[in-house]
Amino acid sequence: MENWEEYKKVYKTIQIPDVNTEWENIRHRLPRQQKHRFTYYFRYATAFAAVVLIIGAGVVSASQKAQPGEALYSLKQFTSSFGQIKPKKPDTIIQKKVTPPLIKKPTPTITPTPTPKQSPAQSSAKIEKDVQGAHIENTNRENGNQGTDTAKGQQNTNSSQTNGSGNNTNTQSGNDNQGQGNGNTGQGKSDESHGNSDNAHSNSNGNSGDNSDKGNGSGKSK
Amino acid sequence: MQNLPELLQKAKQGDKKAFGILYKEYYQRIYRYCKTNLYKDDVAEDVCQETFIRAWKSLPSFVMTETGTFQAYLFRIARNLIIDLGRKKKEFSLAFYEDIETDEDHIEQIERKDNIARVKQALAKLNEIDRQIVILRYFEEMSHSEVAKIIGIKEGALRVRTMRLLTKIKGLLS
Repeated sequence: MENWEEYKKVYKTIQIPDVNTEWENIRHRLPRQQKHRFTYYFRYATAFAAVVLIIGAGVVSASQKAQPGEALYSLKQFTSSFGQIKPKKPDTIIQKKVTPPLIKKPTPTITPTPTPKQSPAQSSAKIEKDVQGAHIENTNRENGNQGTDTAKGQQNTNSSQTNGSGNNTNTQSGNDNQGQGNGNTGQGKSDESHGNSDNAHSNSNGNSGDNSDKGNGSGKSK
Repeated sequence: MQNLPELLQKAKQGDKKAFGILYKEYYQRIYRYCKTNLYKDDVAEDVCQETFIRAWKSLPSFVMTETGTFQAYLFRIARNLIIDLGRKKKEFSLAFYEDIETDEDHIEQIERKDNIARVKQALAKLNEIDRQIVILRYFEEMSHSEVAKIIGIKEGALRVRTMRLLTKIKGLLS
């Protein structure tokens, strides 16, 4: 171990630079010190104790509330419900409803009757007839209801139709319900050239087919 | 040197003067330690300065429990820096050997050089931790507890390791 001692001697005689100059160099380089943060060494122990206390308190409170025969541990109860199918209670047997078999009743089938095809001329004649019939019905109804209309003070007059001859003298005011003399309804469109409206010949009583609300017997507008 | 705990307390509060006294007290040892582990003077100086700068920065979080722990604290920082530099076995050097001037005659000098070369070879064969143990325990004459703190192992483990290490070195030197 002589070598060892010699080596130690060499180690101790290592040349060292001047300490004062080194300090002067380093002195200006010293940065700001890091702030020491408070470290609580028992933080994990405290956290664990807190968790144990909370769980213990829960278990104790659950056991106080529990009835005889019930599980004491709420956690156990809670976790047992995961992923498990609840067993059927023996008392409640689900009875299946027995439904009678369905009997198929024969349903009456309606067979469409083929309609004969009509030519366009025939169909237009039929439409005209229907329109005429509808006008006649309307006029009959109007006559029947006239008493009530006059009672309301709303008498509908049509000058072109009251003439009976079908001459429409007041063509301008004929369409105007607010006209001074003759209140005519919208349907009482008169034909100036012919002097006869289409409705004129069908209206024997001098009333138009259409019942104007605005037209007055006196010709005064509202 | 003034009372160490008092100086440390002042340095913790940001007193550079107090830290200067500590610097002058420990600089020599830290420098020697760095020089032994690093092959260049300028690198050793840089590492030594960096050691004290780091110690200053983290001084507020340092808690001194026993006397001498501040020394261990400084050596530990220095060791970490040396490891960071990656200067381990290969860079281990005994360059300071040539700087020694002695009044011995020529034959004695040759014998001496031969002895030191043997130690050098033996140390080079050791791993990094073992080499640190030898330097700190036998050259710096630190206690087992201090060395254990610097190396980062338990004191009992260090004692066992030191015993085995001595046997190993004897075998290498013989």
